[in-house]
Amino acid sequence: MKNRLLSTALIAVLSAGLLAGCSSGETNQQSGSEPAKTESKELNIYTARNYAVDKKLYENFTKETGIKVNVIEGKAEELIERIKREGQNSPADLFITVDGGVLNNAKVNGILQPVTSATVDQNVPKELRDKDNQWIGLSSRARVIVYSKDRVKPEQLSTYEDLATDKWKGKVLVRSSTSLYNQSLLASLVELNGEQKAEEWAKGIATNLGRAPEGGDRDQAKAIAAGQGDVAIMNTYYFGQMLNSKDAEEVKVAKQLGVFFPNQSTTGTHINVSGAGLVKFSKNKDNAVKMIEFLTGTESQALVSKENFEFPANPKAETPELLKSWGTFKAQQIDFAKLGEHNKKSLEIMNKVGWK
Amino acid sequence: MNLVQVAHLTFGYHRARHTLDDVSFTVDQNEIVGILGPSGSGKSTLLRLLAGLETPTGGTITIAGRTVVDDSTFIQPEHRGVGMVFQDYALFPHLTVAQNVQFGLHALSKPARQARMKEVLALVHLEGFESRYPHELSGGQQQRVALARALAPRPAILLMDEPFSNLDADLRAAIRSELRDILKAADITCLFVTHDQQDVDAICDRSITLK
Amino acid sequence: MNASKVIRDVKKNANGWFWISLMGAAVILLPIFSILASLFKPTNENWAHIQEFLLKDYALQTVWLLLGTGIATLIVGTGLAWLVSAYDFIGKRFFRFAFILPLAIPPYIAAYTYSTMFDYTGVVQKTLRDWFGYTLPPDLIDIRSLPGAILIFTLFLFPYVYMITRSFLERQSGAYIENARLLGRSPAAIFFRVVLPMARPAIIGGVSLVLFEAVSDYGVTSYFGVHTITTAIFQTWFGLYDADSAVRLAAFLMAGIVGAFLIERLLRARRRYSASTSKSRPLVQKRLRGLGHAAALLICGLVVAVSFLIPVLQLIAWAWLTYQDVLTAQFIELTFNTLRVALLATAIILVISTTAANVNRVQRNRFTMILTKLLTAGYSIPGAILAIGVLTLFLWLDQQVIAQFGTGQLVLSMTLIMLIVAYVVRFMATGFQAIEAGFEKIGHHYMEASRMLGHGLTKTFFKVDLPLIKGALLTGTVLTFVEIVKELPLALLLRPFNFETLATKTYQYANDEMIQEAAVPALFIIAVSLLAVAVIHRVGERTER
Repeated sequence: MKNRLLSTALIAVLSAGLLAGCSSGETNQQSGSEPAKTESKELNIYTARNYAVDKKLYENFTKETGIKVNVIEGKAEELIERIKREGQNSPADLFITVDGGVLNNAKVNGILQPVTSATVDQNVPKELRDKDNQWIGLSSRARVIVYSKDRVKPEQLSTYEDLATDKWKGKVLVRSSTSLYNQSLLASLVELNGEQKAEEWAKGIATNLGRAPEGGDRDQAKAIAAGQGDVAIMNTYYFGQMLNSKDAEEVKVAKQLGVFFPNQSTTGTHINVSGAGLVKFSKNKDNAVKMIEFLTGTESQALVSKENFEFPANPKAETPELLKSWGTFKAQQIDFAKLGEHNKKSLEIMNKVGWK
Repeated sequence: MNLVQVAHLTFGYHRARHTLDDVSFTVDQNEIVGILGPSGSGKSTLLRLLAGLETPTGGTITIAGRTVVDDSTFIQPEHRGVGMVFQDYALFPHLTVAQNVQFGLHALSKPARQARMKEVLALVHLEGFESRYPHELSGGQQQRVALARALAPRPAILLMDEPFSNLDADLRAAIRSELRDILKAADITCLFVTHDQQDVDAICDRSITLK
Repeated sequence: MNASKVIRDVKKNANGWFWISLMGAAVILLPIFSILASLFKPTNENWAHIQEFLLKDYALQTVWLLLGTGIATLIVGTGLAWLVSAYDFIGKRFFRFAFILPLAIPPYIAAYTYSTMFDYTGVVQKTLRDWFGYTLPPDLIDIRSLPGAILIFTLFLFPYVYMITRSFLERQSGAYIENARLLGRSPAAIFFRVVLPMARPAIIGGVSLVLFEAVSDYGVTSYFGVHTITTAIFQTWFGLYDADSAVRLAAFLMAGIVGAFLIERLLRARRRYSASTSKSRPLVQKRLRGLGHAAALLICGLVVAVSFLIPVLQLIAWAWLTYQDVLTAQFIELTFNTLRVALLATAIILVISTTAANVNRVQRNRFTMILTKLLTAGYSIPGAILAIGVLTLFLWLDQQVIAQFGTGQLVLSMTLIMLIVAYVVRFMATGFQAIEAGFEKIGHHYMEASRMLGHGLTKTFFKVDLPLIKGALLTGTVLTFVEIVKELPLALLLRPFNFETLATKTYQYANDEMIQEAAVPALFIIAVSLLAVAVIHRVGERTER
């Protein structure tokens, strides 16, 4: 008898738990996908940007408009796959991520639709938007050369291409080919210099490495300090973070390093763009467009730049001292769609030349 | 009257090497029958088939007039009314002697259960050991608890698998005669697996030899 | 076999237990099959590239990683289990418990922690530089490497082997080992000739959990630049933008691993390892003296230091720098969310795995054996790939709902049920291995004796089996719960709107190379896991008496 009681209790607890799980899910669901009404007060975002500053922006948006923002965070490709599989029932309204190649991939996968808004067109220059306006740039980071102030003079530096020459043998540091940033950089070189030149470049970099690729962007800067190389390819964003780290030792390392924007007299410095795409089957399209307008406004843009050390997409936005101190620079002028198209090729090249 | 009928019993995973091949025999009410045979001859398997712990590849077993297994029937072990004493006794380590013996008496009322427990413990001369745990008993005592536990629900037939294999030689001789007395006093039909002719001579009414 | 026999056998085996495990199996196997199905789809043009550049080298590194991790965890896990169950020494009770603690630390957090500690700005090099004016040659200590990955996996996963082996050794047949001692065998000979072979099912259970985890890991390997099949899977998905080929690669990986374990099982099926004897009694412990005593203390202290104390202290130091910015009232909600999904999923896993393990034990045929092995297959594939399988299943279910009721809204896939099912699929192995080891330990005879005394399967389970496998059940509960608390990829992709756990919060910082900030939520994860380990340890101690 006792046993029957026990098992009944167990089942009761289990089903109660399950119900709790369901019901909490349902509240989310209700808030998740209101039917497409003009007065809808909701907006569903799938984002691969996990920054505190983004959350602050969403809160500001809700304060300003009264529209509730629901968020699922994840990795970009996983979110694309999820939206794709959810199809026309997808609750997603906006897809936000870092990297033009990925944004283009979302477009190619047919999960986006064009944004029509005069405000957005005004806020964001044409080169930071998809040519069909299926995604809108929000901010960008430059992939620059960071060098040891002790061992390298800025005059010795010139271009990405130069890093692949013999003079940097054993001195170059870069993370592994699994990094999207490297794939995008190589993709841009494929577009600018052609496949063969790009492959030679990748091969040069792979042979010039001071050590096998490992770690993240910050780790390359630290490796310069440790003397494993003299120059590193890394994002301005991470460098800015290091300068503002809570760990005094990281700040000390960052201060020994200089930032150099390569290819200024040739093709321009490679940039990575973050952007927002309007999801094809969005049920809250008006709110989504409103959000893009809000995010590209000068106020939001200045906030992102200040807290996240990213370059604002809206040229009228205020930038922080640190970014100003790096001066203005010339960015690569290429269609971001090409980055997506060449991404596969660039990965193949890196595998082929042994860039681990 | 035939209490147990075994007809054309076959068991084995591989057709070529059957553990049991076409075994038939009968056991009468209140008979104590020894099953003899070298190791590997399928003695234990035969008991497990009778108990319902294995399913035969062919043949029929009838116990007390009821077919317990054939090609279309299988009665679960808990419904066969068969008692078994395992070679290693399998006394539940988390239960006392009293709880072990009462384990099979779930159909009885609490006082009736107590009474039956006392009765069978007296039968095996273990009065006063009720609150001990199995690991606090000697090998011979453990065996007698196992026997008492198997007898308690009054099974139609008792199966014993090498009951002496875990006892030392001098204890063995003493227990042989005691066991026969207990079985006769309990008025039970018993099938008894051993590889020792002496066991059969001392305890059994007759024996069956497996090749 | 004729028809009536088939009907008889089906009737004999098809009880409630069987149906419950079949239902559990259906939920678990559908996503797994949806991944395996990709093996039969035609390949695309990327496949040739994958085969040429990714497979060979990456497969080789995977083998090295698994070999290294397998052997190292085997040595550390069984060695320590043997030490605490066969010997007595100062602080043994503490160490016996402390060796479980590394499980509370997610390996990828440990990887970030150790590599940051040892890099140029880390505490090790900084101390040497500032205090002794010594600069370490940069290549001397290279944590971010294949040996480094093996080290991390060993330090933070060995408790799987340790726990399962220890619980086996502490209860199983002291008689065998004492016999060997009386026969004058040396301790080493006893360990290798008696303990290892006897504990084989337990050890294999533990090591296979470790290997599953190592092979499906992406966090540690990608950060350390180790190229395994799993990194190849993600390169294919994130780099070649080819999710289909990625799933296909994962399917190969899973098929290979399940195959390997099936072969192991079939080989093992011939022998009986569970000493069916009911006379097992605990081992009498030998008091260590002199040099041996000192060596034991040194080894135990070292293991606890590197696998728990050092990384936790480092995380606390980092958290001290950042907590003012990171720690908010939101952490109460995060902790509650984490607990809720973890408890629920753990309960479901234990019910299904106990049922299935019991069915497999009672029926002992090939069908149930393969079924139960497949049940645990979810552990062998990377979480993100499994997430696709679960997502596919739930979206399909939702399509059916929409077709029926025409609501035009996704229902199931927007709830926590999807995430919980995914956890169940992925971590069935942790619960199942522990429980199966528990069943193997008690053997068949108690169950058979109970049934001979007129009790059915269910009553036998509650009256006999359950009290006897309580220890294994507790082990399974801790392992599963802690795994889920640490889990990342599934939580990341399958959670409903606005649902965050401690793990996703940690990811938010760690993914952005902000280890100092990630330390705060990471410490929360460790605290929750520790609490579970400690509570259940106390309960376990009490029931053992």
